[in-house]
Amino acid sequence: MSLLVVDGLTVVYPGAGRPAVAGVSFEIEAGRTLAVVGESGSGKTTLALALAGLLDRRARRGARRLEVNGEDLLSAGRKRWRQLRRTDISFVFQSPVNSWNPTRTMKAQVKDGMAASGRAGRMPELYDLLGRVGFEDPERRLEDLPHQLSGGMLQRVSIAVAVIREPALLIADEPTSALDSTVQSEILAILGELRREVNLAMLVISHDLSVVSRVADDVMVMYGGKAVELGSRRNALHSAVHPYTKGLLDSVPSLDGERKTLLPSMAPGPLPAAGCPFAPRCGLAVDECRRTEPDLAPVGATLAACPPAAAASTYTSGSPSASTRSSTPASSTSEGSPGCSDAAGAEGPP
Amino acid sequence: MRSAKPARFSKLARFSKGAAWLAVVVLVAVTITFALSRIVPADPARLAAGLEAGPEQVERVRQDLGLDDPIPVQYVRYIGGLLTGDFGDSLRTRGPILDDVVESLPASLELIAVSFSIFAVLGIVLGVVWAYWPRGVHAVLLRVVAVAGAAVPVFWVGLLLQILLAGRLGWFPVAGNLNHEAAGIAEVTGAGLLDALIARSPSAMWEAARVLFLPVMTIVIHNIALTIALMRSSLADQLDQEYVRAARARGLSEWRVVMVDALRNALNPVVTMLGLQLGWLLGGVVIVEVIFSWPGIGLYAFSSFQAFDYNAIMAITVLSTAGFVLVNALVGLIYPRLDPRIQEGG
Ligand SMILES: Nc1ncnc2c1ncn2[C@@H]1O[C@H](COP(=O)(O)OP(=O)(O)OP(=O)(O)O)[C@@H](O)[C@H]1O
Ligand code: SF4
Ligand SMILES: [Mg+2]
Repeated sequence: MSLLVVDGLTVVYPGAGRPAVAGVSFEIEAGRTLAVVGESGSGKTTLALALAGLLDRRARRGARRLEVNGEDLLSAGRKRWRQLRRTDISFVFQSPVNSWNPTRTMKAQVKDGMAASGRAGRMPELYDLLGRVGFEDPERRLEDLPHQLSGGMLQRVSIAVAVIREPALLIADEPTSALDSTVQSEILAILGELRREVNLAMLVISHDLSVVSRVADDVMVMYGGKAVELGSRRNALHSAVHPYTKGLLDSVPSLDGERKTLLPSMAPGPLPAAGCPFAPRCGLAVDECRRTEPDLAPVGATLAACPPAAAASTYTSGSPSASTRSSTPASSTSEGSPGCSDAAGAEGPP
Repeated sequence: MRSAKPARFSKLARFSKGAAWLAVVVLVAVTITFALSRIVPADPARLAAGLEAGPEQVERVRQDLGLDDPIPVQYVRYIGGLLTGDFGDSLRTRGPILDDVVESLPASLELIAVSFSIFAVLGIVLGVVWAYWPRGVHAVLLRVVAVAGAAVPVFWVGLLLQILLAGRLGWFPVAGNLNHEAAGIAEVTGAGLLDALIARSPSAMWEAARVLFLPVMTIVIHNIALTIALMRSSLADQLDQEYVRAARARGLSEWRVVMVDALRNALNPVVTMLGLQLGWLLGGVVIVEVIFSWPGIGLYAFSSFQAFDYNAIMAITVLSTAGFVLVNALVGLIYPRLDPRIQEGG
């Protein structure tokens, strides 16, 4: 049974035309990591907040199913959500600096967090954990105010406080994108290691595919609030079907050289009122795309929300990599996505 | 990097810097008031001698008061007097001004202390309620209070309350302070409520509260508007910060998130403004005291103005400036408690 079940999750902010998250469905099994990828404004943070009961009070949330550990959370009240955050669901935010009150010492705040999960008296365990993730002399350094510590140090504390309560689900919203690259890899390594130890399910958000390829078991690509592609890491990265996913892959500098293509019309224009959100930027768009909103459906080795691409791939089902190539957006001149030759992965979607 | 000794040293350094700053501001205020009192065309000797006095009498008074000395000499003499607590004599009451001030100060301090405590505490509470629950009937009411209270002039509020609640309805005395004799208590401090407390007389306390009510309400209505509005916007800003969401994500209770983390940061601008408001009250209490014939320093200032009692006017200016600066210096001591980052910058 999956640890987290999300079915048809929709979040609408007041005054917004389109939902920020529109009918997203996926599951995460215990011990697995799902990476959510997508450009700015695609609804990644909104999705993550909804899963922790941390949405703005004004936001409206709906879903067919929302379950953690088999418990239905659609009817959970604010109290229950707080309880879940204390024991089952941990959150690591994008900006380590903004995650802490600038006017209170780290120790005071960390203690508050420990007390909230019933671990007030177990600070030494936290110091141990911090020491292990490369935070030197934690007992003394935590006396500092947040701005006296570096981003990497602060994020180590955030992660330690999140993990020490041994949650079932850890949600990390772009945990490394505010850090410089060496620190990024350190933090990713820490996350990966702790995750294996505690065997927790993890949802990692990123707009950076290199992060995804390091930590994820499965990948979900979002565009305009919708999940447009969902599959195992290998399949989503190597035999992607959806034009947006392929554009994303092509815009990553390829390992073997200079070639690097950006998505057509990167200007984040307004999303269309109806139909496929990607239609204005899609080289494959047909009239039908502007009328009906496609949903995820099995295509080749992944799930993709794009009927035209699905159709194209069935014609050429004998060679998935050829189909991938043929449906690449017109302006793309890329010959190969990063190391994509071993496209036919064996893993199925979760 | 940071060790205890330099911190303590810098604390002392900051304190002396603050004290020096205070002295400079007061000195500037004294100098300006002194200059003004010598520029205005009215002749203080003439006023002091009285209307019937002949020219020789006026000259004698001028000599007595030292007004025929060169201005710099007068200035130095005045500063010297101030340093020994001598504000000179009142032209109106003929006694030392210090005595008059000591006599009228308790009533003013009582009025200011009671009003300030009420609008500061109530304003903060209402601002917090409004920020945390921004929708609903209470929010509409608070918006009305915040806009109307600040927009309506203080004398208008005072007169309206006086006519309505004292004149028409007769619920409160129209004007004046507690009559200690009638209330059957001894005059210890001069502040009615305090004296009633000391005498442990519930009936006197009730009377003291009744006479205080209208002037206090007038000051509160005028000042609470700003406190509520600033507290609301400041806390609403903080509640939107990511650290609030992060604290919630760590499972902290709403009370801790709002009262321990957010409110503490949100109080910073509110404390600044309360300090300014308190400073203004030291001078701004005049109108209210005049409306309600409250025998405090404001009423004394008003009478002194009418009589062009320049010594008294100068004394009051100096005292209220010193009070203003002192209040703000005290506020400065509160900041580092609210935001420890300020300590380092020092
Ligand atoms: N509190 C809010 N109120 C109203 N609209 C919001 C709010 N938060 C986000 N939105 C809108 O919802 C959409 C999705 O935003 P979200 O922050 O979830 O995207 P994201 O994928 O996390 O983007 P980024 O990579 O920039 O973090 C955006 O159009 C955004 O403007
Ligand atoms: S082909 Fe149509 S459905 Fe597929 S991504 Fe393009 S616009 Fe959307
Ligand atoms: Mg985001």
